[in-house]
Amino acid sequence: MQQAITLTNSTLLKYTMFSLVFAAITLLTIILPAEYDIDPTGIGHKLGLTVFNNVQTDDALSNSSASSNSTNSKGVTETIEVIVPAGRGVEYKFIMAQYQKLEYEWITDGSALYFDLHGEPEGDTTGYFESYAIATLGEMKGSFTAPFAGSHGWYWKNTSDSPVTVQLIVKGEYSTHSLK
Amino acid sequence: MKNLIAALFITLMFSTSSAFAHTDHGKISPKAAIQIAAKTTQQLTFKDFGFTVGKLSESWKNLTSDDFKLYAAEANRYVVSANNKSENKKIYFLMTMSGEVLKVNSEAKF
Repeated sequence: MQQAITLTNSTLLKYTMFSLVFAAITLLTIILPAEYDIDPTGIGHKLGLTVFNNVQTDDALSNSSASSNSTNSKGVTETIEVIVPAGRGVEYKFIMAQYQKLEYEWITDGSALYFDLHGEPEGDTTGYFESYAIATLGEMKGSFTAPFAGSHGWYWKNTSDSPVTVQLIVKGEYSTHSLK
Repeated sequence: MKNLIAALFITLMFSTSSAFAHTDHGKISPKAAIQIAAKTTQQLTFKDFGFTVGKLSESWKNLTSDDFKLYAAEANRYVVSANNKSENKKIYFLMTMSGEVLKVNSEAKF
């Protein structure tokens, strides 16, 4: 059974004004703090919405060689160079907790390399691994979020007859990184 | 009055959708432009990308974020400077508003 709803102009106006006020409150307390780090009421900070804009400017652009084993926290860019000998493959991994994120960009100084970007669960002894990307490229840029705690990184294989150096620039959350 | 309210409602619908939309993917912030210049500097110490400055020396690896400044922001491009104090040299990155590095010179003339 249908029921007719009749709204007078004054009621429509009242609901419209209510919507406007609600939209204004949402804008001031949620959208502006989260999207633009503008928090006139302070509520956005208390709700934790301003964290999206609290990415610190890099204090330093640190450099590491492939032999180093270093630690890092979110927000610092690291540059790593890995030599892949002719006719061989090397694996470079980052120890990450579940849902930690890594942004990366790598280039080679020569030919393209076959690679497998993958992760291995912490403590696993079965040999299981999950591949995130497999290709043969001379450069790549992207990011990934670790689906599980463990070691995550690249296996590069050099099928040419001369060594190839990979420059890997990373920024993200991980505890250590090294050749495996 | 109803027409006025309907018009107001439609306007609100459009303004709300733009408020929730992502920032334009095609345009980066000055801070992001500086980060791209810093990353490109690292890459230029590794390999010659065909820019005027060629391959940079090892000392450019030691630059910190303080050494990078937004030199100019024009209608459709950013110019970011990188200052290598140890060699007393400056280079300039010309990039589009989307962050594509077009030229890298030792003078800010493009």
